[in-house]
Amino acid sequence: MSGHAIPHRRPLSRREFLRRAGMTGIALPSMAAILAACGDDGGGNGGGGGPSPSATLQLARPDNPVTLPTFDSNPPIEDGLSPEPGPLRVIGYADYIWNRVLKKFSSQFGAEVEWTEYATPEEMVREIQAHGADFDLWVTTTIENLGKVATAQLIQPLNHTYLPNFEANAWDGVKSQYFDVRSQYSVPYTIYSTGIAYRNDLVTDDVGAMDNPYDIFFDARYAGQTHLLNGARDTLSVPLLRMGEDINTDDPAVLDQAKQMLLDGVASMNWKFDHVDYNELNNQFAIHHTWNGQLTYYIYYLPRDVSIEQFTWVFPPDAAGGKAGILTTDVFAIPKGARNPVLAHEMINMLYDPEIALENYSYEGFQPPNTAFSADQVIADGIVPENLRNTLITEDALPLGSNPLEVQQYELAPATNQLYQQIYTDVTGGV
Amino acid sequence: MAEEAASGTQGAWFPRWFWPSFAAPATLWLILFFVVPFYVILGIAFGQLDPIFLTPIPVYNPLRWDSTAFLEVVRDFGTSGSVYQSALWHTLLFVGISTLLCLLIGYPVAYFIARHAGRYKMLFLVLFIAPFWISYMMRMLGWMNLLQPNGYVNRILETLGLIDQPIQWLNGKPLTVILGLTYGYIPYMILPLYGTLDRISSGTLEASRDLGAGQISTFLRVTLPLSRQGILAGIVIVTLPMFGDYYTTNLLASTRNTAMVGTLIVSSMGSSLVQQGASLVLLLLIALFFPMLYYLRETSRAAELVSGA
Repeated sequence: MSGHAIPHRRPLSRREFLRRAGMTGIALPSMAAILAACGDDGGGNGGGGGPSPSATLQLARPDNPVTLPTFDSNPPIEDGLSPEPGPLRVIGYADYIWNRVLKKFSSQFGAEVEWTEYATPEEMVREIQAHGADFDLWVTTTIENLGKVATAQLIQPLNHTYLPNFEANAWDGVKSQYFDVRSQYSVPYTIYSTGIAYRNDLVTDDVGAMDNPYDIFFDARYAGQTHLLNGARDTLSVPLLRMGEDINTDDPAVLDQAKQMLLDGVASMNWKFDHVDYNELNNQFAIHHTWNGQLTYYIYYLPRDVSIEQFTWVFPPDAAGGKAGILTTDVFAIPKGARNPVLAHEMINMLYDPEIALENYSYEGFQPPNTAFSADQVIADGIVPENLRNTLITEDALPLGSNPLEVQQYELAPATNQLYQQIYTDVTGGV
Repeated sequence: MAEEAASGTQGAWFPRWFWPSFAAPATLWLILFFVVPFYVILGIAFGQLDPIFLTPIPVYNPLRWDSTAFLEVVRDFGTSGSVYQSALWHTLLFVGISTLLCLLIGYPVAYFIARHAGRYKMLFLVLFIAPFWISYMMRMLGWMNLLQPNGYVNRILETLGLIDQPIQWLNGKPLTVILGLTYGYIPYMILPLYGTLDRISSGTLEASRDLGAGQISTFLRVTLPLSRQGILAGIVIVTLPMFGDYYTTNLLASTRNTAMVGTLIVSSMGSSLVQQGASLVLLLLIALFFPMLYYLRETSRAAELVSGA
């Protein structure tokens, strides 16, 4: 009963990769996929240009920054408009803005905030695709989805005249990023890293001193006590980073290696794939592949006999072995057809107010790229304990893509995306 | 006259459509909430994917259906070690054992209440069923707390000296999933069994004893055969939802080693593998169609026997 079948090794041949790619109904593109049926011009800044049959979805990379196309039919809102009566309808992750901040917003603008929760970026993309106009603000989308939703005109360009706090207080490194040059469609909400959190009373190794910190996820001494982040991109990043490979690779041989590594790990480690929340914190665990902001969550939900000092955080680029790690951002966007776009801009602007940004951070734990943010101050205020100082990101880490060890999950060609998803399902069984 | 009454034509002032029209709400309900959604699932399983967003584009014209994704899933079911095949085996194993346990535990309980609880019959029935008034999800979350390493189950076992180290019940143990399923679904086995056993007349049992049969022989030759319909109904009622269950294994185990078909279907809904998920729904439906058919055949045969007698 307790015996677990060892997953059969099923190499992913180039033929199979291409066949699966074919299932999506497209050829495998290298750097661009043609987005058909975009009604009008993909030219610059909404000025001039009549309708044309297609716009190109460009896959942004640090060495290939992308100015997202703008369209006559999808202009930013006019300057100087008054906020609408609301309610502000938000699509986003659960609890991603502190309720107290939402109440302040309601009281300042006289508009209620209605929040519709989704668990994953993919679910939100689907909802925006199907019912985008039902929402005013998207909290938040990710780098790997931004290009396609902008090119398909599912979101509208921002009008920065409504965002003076962003212009005044955002870190310079986030004001124009390679995936959205000049922040035409998005501004960042949080900046965060993905690394290794572990219980230093249960794990005797100094993970930060290991040549390859990712090996700890495969250490059989911690079988049954190790959690990996769920989601195709995050889960696959572990073997890819362990192998020193690109986390955006479309090489079937590399992806097959990553898959085998995960299948071996499933058999030997009995990983759980989750975000580690209240239940998992109570169910003793030793190691977690997670986001830096999640450590702040731990503080409030640990069992009574465990303290936050029993946790250590390792971000692999800072570790002895100098391996790559993920440093990325979640960005705000406003759906096309939003009925309260001025209110949506006001909410973004409010979250760049230094005082509000820090207040919100004290609850959320995910860091705003705000010049008012000071690591020393949040430690002095007791928001983050001293032993987790290294979870905090400093402005010199920006702009994203400037450090080859600090990588992002880029937008992938659809066929590659599909392949990541298939591997993820093969490895996790959908749990 | 009897025929007239049976066919519902008594009271000739009603038009012919009057009595059949009573079925209209149920028919409409079935069309709206089963037939139409089922056709949408067919349209997704045999449809297309948006080339950029990888979201499903249902195709409703059967002449334009593409069976690639469906056949891919069928092929994977036959591929040793594939996630689909292992989920299928887990599902069959977990559902099979859990159903058997439900029957083995539920039958004596139902038998006791029906035949030996006397005037406390209803009290016992309510007491057995009462915990199940709480939602399934809450009960599973309760089990998560009981089974965690420092939970009451481990503490009791440690206090009794039966274990030295806490058992990691929640780390992907098939046993935990089976116990969760059994606990979660057992009332649905007890209720139809109780209904059937309670209807067996004491006169029939007394006749058996008068004819020289002992208690065991009476049970085996009278009670058990007469409760066959209840057993079948219990198995069907318990098995059908178990096959689609995903939250029990997600909450109590949540590893690939305990993945069931239901978990694959649910996870596909939020991903680009939604065609595979729709195909799994269809295959599960086909697989469950035959036991359901068997059940309907058996019940109609039993009804014929009763009316014949």
